[in-house]
Amino acid sequence: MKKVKILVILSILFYGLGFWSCESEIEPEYFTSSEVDFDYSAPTLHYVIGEPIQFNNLSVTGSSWQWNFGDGTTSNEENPVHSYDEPGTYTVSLTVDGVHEVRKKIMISDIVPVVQYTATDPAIVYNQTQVSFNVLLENPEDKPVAYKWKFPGGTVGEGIDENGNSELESPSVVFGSIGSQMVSLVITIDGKNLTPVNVNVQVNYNQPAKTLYYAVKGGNIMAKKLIYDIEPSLNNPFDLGYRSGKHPLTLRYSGNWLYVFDAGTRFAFVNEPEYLTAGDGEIFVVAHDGSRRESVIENFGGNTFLDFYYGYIDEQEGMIYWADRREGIFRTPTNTRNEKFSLTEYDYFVRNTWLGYYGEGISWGNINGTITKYNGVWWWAKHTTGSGIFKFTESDILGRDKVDGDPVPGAGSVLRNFGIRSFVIDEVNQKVYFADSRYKMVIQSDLDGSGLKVIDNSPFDGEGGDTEALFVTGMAIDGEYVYWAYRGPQPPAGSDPEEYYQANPLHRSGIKRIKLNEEEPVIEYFIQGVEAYGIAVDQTLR
Amino acid sequence: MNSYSLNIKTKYLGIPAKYILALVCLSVVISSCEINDPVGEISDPGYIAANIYWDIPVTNITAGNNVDFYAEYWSTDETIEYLGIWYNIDKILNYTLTYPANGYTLILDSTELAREFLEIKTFAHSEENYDPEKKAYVIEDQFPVSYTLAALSYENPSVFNQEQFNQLIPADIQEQFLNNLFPQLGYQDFRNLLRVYRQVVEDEVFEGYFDTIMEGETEIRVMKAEAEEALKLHLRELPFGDLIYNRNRQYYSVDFSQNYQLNARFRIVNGNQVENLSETKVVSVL
Repeated sequence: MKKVKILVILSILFYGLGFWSCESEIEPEYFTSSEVDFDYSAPTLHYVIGEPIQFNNLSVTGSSWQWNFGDGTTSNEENPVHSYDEPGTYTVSLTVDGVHEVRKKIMISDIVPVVQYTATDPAIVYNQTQVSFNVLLENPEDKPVAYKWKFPGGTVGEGIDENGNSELESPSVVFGSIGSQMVSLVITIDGKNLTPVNVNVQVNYNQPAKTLYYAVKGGNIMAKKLIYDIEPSLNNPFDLGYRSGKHPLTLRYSGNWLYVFDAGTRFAFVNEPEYLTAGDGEIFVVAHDGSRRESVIENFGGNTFLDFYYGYIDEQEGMIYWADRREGIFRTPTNTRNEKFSLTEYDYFVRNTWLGYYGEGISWGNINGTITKYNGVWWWAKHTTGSGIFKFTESDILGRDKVDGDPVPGAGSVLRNFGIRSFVIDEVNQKVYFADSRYKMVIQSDLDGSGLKVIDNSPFDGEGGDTEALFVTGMAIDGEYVYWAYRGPQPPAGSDPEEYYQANPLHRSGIKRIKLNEEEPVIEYFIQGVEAYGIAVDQTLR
Repeated sequence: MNSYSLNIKTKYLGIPAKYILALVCLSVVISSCEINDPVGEISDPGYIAANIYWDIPVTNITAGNNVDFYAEYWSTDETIEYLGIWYNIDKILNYTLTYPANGYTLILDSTELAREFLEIKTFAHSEENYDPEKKAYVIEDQFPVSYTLAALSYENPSVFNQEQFNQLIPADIQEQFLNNLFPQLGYQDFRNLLRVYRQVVEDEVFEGYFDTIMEGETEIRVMKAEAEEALKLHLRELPFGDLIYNRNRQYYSVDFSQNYQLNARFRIVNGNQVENLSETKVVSVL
């Protein structure tokens, strides 16, 4: 009997526990009444303006229906059809018999034309590939549509006039030049202009070619194919779509990346204490096709003298080297990303005082120029006082301040009479081309500094003044030519610019070049009318 | 022991009565609660729904493209009346505005249902779909996504277009940013914004908005209480782009994105007119 009582008590507790656990989970829940309901559907997936939307009453009871479509319109039909004039997300309500209401959301999209194109070749080639354009366009009310295409100069195709205009629905064209080809389309539906659509079509040369990259002053990073036997007007640049930075004095190309060394807004002397926080330089990389930009390291808010002035990529070592304004050179692995520079995190690779040249050519605060490594030997350019190119190997780096008796590096220095902003080595012909900021000339010499020959002595734009003239900071070689980014002076006030440039044809800003190893080199413009700082060549044939 | 007593030692089908009693109690408890009803959640007794298993191998899809899926289904009544993909659409908005000088950032995001759960595509049932190895019908097919659902982003533009900015960033979000930012601005911020980068106010008037106090041996300029409204008004005179311009990176620190997300389910109805819905697969539209 006792066991039965225990069992009964346990059962009551068990039930009680069950009910308690059930009660404690009761929370208010709101359901759409299954008695009152509706749905909707459109003829297409797109639900664009003008499209007739079928609203279906699914209520199981009721004899009167009040619809509010959320756009200020209503209906008393049981299953109305409604179309919206403006895009947006609307709340539709159905009230049955004036009492029971249900609300649902409906999103209506604007009519946005989508331009697609197909090509007869895997890569679009100028003067060859047929490119067919097609427009996806919802026009639910079947209103009259007008197409206005605008193609770049040189584009040919049926129905395209000499100015590149076409009113065809689906034009088919062949582009007449290389580079970024901007195609624009304005569609008018029943007199209403839709949002214009711009398509950037990348058009290639008919064979792989090297590429020259250049950082436009106040503009974007650009690229242009290095093609030697083509009418210049047919070889247009590609816009990579990324800003160049403030003073991108150096570009370097390595692997599939373009490295941009931006010295920031302030590249010359800045008084104390302002220089301590005026840094805003950055090293960043851009994918060769412009598909990505990634930050390597930045110095925002740091010492402006420690911004990133000149750079070099050692592919074998997998290291990025850069020179600050006047003190030395730093390094970081090429896979560095999104780092912030500080002297506590980054120690010098070499500094002025760590070489036997200190006091023997290099002195305190000598301002840096291009750095490069050639045959295992570093070439470090200096300008202003203590100028020239100072060569050394890693074994010459003392890692401490030089003391009396420390030897001068055996590789020696060259061009000590020149303030060298930038230089490039022509390995094949054993020449150095350098930009001298003291005499404002581009000069050619032998590797030992002899055999000097002035290439270009055109006046420059004056940026940096006399003491820290920027002059030419970007030089590159592609095996055929040496290129330099020249920023010329403004025509004198009151003069006619065209007359001035006709009289002084080499004073136009642009990317100039000469053929390598010519006895009497003739300067020509690879790109005219552009002001650039750093330039680099991708030697890969793409 | 009388005839009403329960002999707990009695066995039925070899099972002691006490275990039977406990089992009965347990089953009553489990099935008696309508809210916490594990039995009811598993099935509606009396109806047998078809079973469905499905998968979407790639759940990021570009608007205008089709989504590939794989589905296995079977039904004990061996008849299938309806097969279809349904989805609803969530709209996801993200706003980030930054005042670069001190790093103040306003981040807002929202997800809201934009379109109801609707039929997108139906499929015909066929005996040819039967896979004897899997003992189920198999469909490998696609369903469409409208190109109007393309993601929209506006990230750190290098040129400020006020009209475009206003189209994308609602006025109340701009106002919220300004109101939150104001208490975090100091003398130098105001000076840069109102006197250095632009000359919104005369220098003498501007300096009159601040008192000088000494902190140790350092002079500090602090805003007068009565100047607050005037300074707020001056800030509103600025193009909004001035407040978010990053002078280091040379862009405007605004990041807006609008994305859509599909919550897709496979719907099946068998010969008993019992419907079943698969688990929800989330597809992000790019």
